[in-house]
Parts: sequence; structure tokens; C-alpha cells
Amino acid sequence: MQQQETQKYSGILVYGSHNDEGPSEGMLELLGEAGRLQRQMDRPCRVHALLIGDDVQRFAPELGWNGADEVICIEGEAYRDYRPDLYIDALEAAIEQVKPEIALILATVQGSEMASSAAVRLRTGLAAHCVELRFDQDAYVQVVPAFAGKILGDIYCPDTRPQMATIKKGMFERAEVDSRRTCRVRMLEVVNSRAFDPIRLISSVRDQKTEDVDIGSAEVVIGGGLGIGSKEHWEQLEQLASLFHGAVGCTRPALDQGWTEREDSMIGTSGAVIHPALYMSIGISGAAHHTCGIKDPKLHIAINRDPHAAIFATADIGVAEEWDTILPLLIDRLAQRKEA
Amino acid sequence: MKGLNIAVCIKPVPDPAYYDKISVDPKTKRLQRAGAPAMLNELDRYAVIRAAELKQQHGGSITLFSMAPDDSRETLLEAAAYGADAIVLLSDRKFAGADTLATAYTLSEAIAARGPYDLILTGNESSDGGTNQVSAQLGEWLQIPHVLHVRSIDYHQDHFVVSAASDHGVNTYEVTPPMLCGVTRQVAQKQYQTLRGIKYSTRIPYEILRAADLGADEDRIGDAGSPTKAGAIYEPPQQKEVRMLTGTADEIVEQLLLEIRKAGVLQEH
Ligand SMILES: Cc1cc2nc3c(=O)[nH]c(=O)nc-3n(C[C@H](O)[C@H](O)[C@H](O)COP(=O)(O)OP(=O)(O)OC[C@H]3O[C@@H](n4cnc5c(N)ncnc54)[C@H](O)[C@@H]3O)c2cc1C
Ligand SMILES: Nc1ncnc2c1ncn2[C@@H]1O[C@H](COP(=O)(O)O)[C@@H](O)[C@H]1O
Repeated sequence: MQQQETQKYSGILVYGSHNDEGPSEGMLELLGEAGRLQRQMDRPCRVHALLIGDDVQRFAPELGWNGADEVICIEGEAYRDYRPDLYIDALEAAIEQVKPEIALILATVQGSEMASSAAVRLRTGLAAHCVELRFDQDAYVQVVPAFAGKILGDIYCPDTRPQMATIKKGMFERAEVDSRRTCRVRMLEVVNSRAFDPIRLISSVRDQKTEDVDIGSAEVVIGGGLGIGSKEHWEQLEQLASLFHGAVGCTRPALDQGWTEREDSMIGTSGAVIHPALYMSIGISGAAHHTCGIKDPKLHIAINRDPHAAIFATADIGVAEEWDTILPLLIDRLAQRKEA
Repeated sequence: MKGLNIAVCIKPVPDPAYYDKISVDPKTKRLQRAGAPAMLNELDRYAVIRAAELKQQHGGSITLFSMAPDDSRETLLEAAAYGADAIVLLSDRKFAGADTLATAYTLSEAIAARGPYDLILTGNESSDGGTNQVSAQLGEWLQIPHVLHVRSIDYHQDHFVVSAASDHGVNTYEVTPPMLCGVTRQVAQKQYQTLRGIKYSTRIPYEILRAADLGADEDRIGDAGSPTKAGAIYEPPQQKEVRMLTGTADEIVEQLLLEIRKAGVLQEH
């Protein structure tokens, strides 16, 4: 690798997603983590948040309240919907401008692609889906999962900058909101060097917004697996979740069966990370691909008819019974309580 | 029409069914794979299946590329059985220690040397590392447009129509070849190979390329070409001790209610 002049880089750049209402929860979590890193550093360090989109400047104050010292805005109609080529150029341009020593990028569909591509252009290292970031003496350490989280590894990026990481939503905690905090806003124009558009967007369909609770921030999650057995049975999970105002999550086989349409409710490596107070896993075997998406629940109750199922190794309370001998009773009892 | 020349990147990975047996040796701090057999990375299977369908419709050829140890032959033959015309294995000690940047560079050098290709397919992510990085990085090294999380790919006369997940839904793009797609399970119907098919694929050209054959920049391959360096590996702390509930169903439910109440999630109303 070619050595860079690493000391020319300073500060932390944060990029996450947003919707029409504002920055995503995940973006705010990354700002929280950036703040924690900032406080551990013995040198001046500013936190720069990056917004890319149409008319996004209006979100800048909220990023400031959540820890950004400066917000970089790359705006314009061309950025209304995602186009990989334009968005990658934008991230690259922002990094060139800020020259951060650390970049934290939310591991969404778009964020992962943008980070990977920018890392090639900048010839620097990128650590995927980090679960912990820290300083070890002076070295910055990014902890990544392998084999669906069965193994963790420390990653260093000694010679090139920025040291880039992608992070899934739900990994870190956001900071206390401080609405007196203000931040600088910097508009950045990106000149697209390409002579023609290699990628043409012909349609962009947005998911229907549902009234349901977002699984990533739900206090109670009821997770169902292949052991549930049918779509009719699945309704019992919905019923149980609604008694807690909670959300229903699923494993991949349950999604594949079509028992739920919500792809975003899949928990695990290829899906969401949840950190509820209560997680109830029902008819789930406990494959690492699934359990790595369950982060520090206060209470994890597992129901699986197989007493040797791996899920019990990650649970606090286990019930080795057919689920349908337990769940209807539990639902009844909770419903009665509500009525009382 | 000349047909589509397609390159598909294949990664042999340890069988996920053995993940529970993977551990870190407490003394040597090295990974113990407990004999987990290698298998075709799940999403790469969908990539070759879709490649074979496109070849059927439009004519052309399929070449598989893999950077993997010499003993990966069986996995590659299985992948080839879907309808590949040639296999290129990149194997050399000098490739060892490659992070995603170096892996993508190495693959890009081989693909550029054997190409040009109209379409390059990868799995959207691998099951072991699961970085979801190599696809876009390969597209960048090749300097061609790339789309990830691809749910469908079709070819119309002179352009691809690709639909892919975005953060908010599904986007559809038109792209002129060459391009790269990282595919998800939606691009094709899963089907397994028969032994006969696998036998057939022993007859197609199987080429092993070493670092010297590639003529690649030595500073960009393997550990030397990797900006990230691996430090310690360890197993995540598992301090949980499960308490199994017993009794009649009624008794179990009572105990569950007690625990749930203690967790403070029952909304009082
Ligand atoms: C690359 C890759 C990525 C993946 N990503 C994910 C991911 O993000 N999320 C995910 O969830 N999976 C993912 N998977 C799949 C994962 O490896 C497992 O296959 C999956 O989590 C298993 O789902 P399950 O527990 O529902 O089904 P199974 O493993 O089939 O388990 C069903 C369980 O239900 C129990 N059961 C059956 N009947 C009853 C009953 N009547 N009462 C009580 N218990 C019963 C059984 O004892 C069994 O333990 C991924 C796989 C790969 C290869
Ligand atoms: N060593 C490799 N050889 C061939 N293809 C690879 C290799 N590593 C990754 N890939 C391809 O890149 C995709 C994404 O891998 P990853 O970035 O590891 O999640 C895989 O599905 C493969 O198609």
C-alpha cells in the first residue's frame, strides 16, 4: 500500500440515511458514537455530518442537536432518488473536502455500496458492519463480525485515511438531544466528471409507509420462525405483539414462506438489528445468522419444542414446549389483564 | 447479435451449518474451523443460475472467476454445472491476507485480462465475511457502472434493465453494458445441480492463474495490497445462563407473566 500523509486528516465524517421527515435513527446513532470517539481523542476533532438529497439542508439543525459540529449538504434535484453513480461521487467529494481521519457510514443498502466504492477511489480500508469502535493506546480499532457474529475480529487501518467503517442501525446509542447546540452548515457542489450518465434511473417505487412499529426501535419484539407452521398461526404473533404495542420480527425461512410480507422485519445478518427490552423468540432454532441481530435484550424468552435448540444458549428464559400450548394461554391472560 | 459474455464471481465459503463449531483456540488465538466443508456461497448460486438463463435467451458465454485455494475445484465444478463455459481460479500464496480492496483488485485484473465482458455478476454478499463490499469494489476497479441488491436483470437489445432495492423501496435502472450486478435471491429460482451436470463441467477449460500470470501490481495484492490489517480474533462473550421453565402450561404461563412484568414492559393503563 502506498503510505499517505495520515496527519493531514482529522475529524470524523458521518453519513446515514434520511427520509422526508428527517435524518434516520441510525444516522443519529452514528453521531452519538462519533461524539464518544471525539471525547476519547487527545487532539482536536470535529464531527461532520453529511446530507445528500433534495432539499436536505432543513435537517441540519437536528443533526447539530445530536452532536454534529458541521453539516455538509450536497443538494439538488438529481439527488432526489438514489443513483449509485451520483451518490458515490458525492460521498467521495465530501471526504476529499473534509479529509476526516475516521468515516462512519450507516450500513443501509445505499450506504454500504457508497462506502465500498469510495474506499476504492480513495485507496483506503473499510471495515464492514462494525460492532464496536475504540482506541487502543493510540490506534483506532474497528471490531467486525465474521461467520455471522460467531467470531469477532479487531481491524486496524494503520497507513491510509480515512479509516472507514460501515455500521448497522441499532448498534450504537444516540446522544442526549441538546437543542441549544448549533452547527455550521456548508453547501458543497459536486461536479460530475463523467461525460454521460452510465446509469439511468427509470423508476423509483417507495415502500408504502405502514403504521406498524419499527422493529429496530421497538420495546417489545415477538420473533417467529419456521416452527410457527402457517400463515394462520402467524396471526397469533401479531396478536401477542399488539398487546405490548410491540413489533413482530421473523427469520428468513418464515419470510420465505410468505407468512409475513415485511422484509424489513427480518432479524439477523441480512436483516435488522433489534435491541428491545423484551424479545420472545418462538419456533426459532437460533442460527447465528439470526441471533447476531439480537442486541442486549433485557429479557429474552425462547419457546422451542426442541430442548437442545441453539436458541436457548442466547436466551434468559427457555420453554421447551410446542409453542401452541403456551402462546394462546399467554395471549388470553394478557388480554384479560388489559380488560380488567 | 453477438450474445452476452458474462463473468460470474464465485466464492467458496465454509458451510454455515458448521458455524456453531467454529471457535478460536484459546492458546494459539487462531481460528478453528472444525472441519467445516467448503460450499458455494449461497448468493453466488443465484448469480450463476441467472447467468445461465440470460445465456439461454441471448446466447453468449459464461466464465467463472474465483480467488480461492487450490482445493476449491469441487465447489467451482458445481457452480459451473449450471452452464458455464470456462473456470478461472486465482490461487497463490501471494494473494493470502487480502482484504476486500485487494480481493476486488485481484479479481478485476483477471476479469480485465480474460474479458471484455458485457455483464459481471456477483453475489450481493458472502455468508462468511458478509461484508457486502467486494461487488461494488470490483465495479470500481473495473471502472464500470455497478448496481447492488439486484432483484431482477433483463437484457433488451443494447441495454440492461435492472431493479434493485434502495433504502426506501425499489429502483429500476437502465444501464448500457458493460456493467456489474450484485444479486440477491430474488433474481432466480433456486435449483440444485445433478451429478450428471457436475460431471459435464469437468470437461470445460479449468485454468489456474498465479500472481505472476496476472502480471498484477504486487503492491495491490494480498496482505501488501490491503489497507486493513487483522488484529486479534475472539469469540463474543456468552455470559447468559438460560433458566428452563417446567410445569403445566398454566404454570409456565404464570411464570412467564411474572418475568415479563419484572422486565417492565407491560404498559399500565
Ligand atoms: C448468507 C445467509 C444469510 C442469512 N441471513 C439470515 C438473517 O438475516 N436472518 C435469519 O433469520 N436467517 C438468516 N439466514 C438463515 C439462517 O442461517 C437460518 O437458516 C434461519 O435463521 C433459521 O430459521 P428458523 O429458526 O425459523 O428455522 P429452523 O432452523 O428450521 O428452525 C425452526 C425451529 O422451530 C422449532 N419448532 C418446530 N415446530 C415447533 C413447534 N410446534 N413449537 C415450538 N417449536 C417448534 C424447531 O425445533 C426448530 O428449532 C441466513 C443464511 C445465510 C446462508
Ligand atoms: N475470493 C473471491 N473470489 C470470487 N468472488 C468473490 C470473492 N470474494 C467475494 N467475491 C464475490 O463478491 C460477493 C460479495 O462478497 P462479500 O463482499 O465478501 O460479501 C460474493 O458473493 C462473490 O460473488
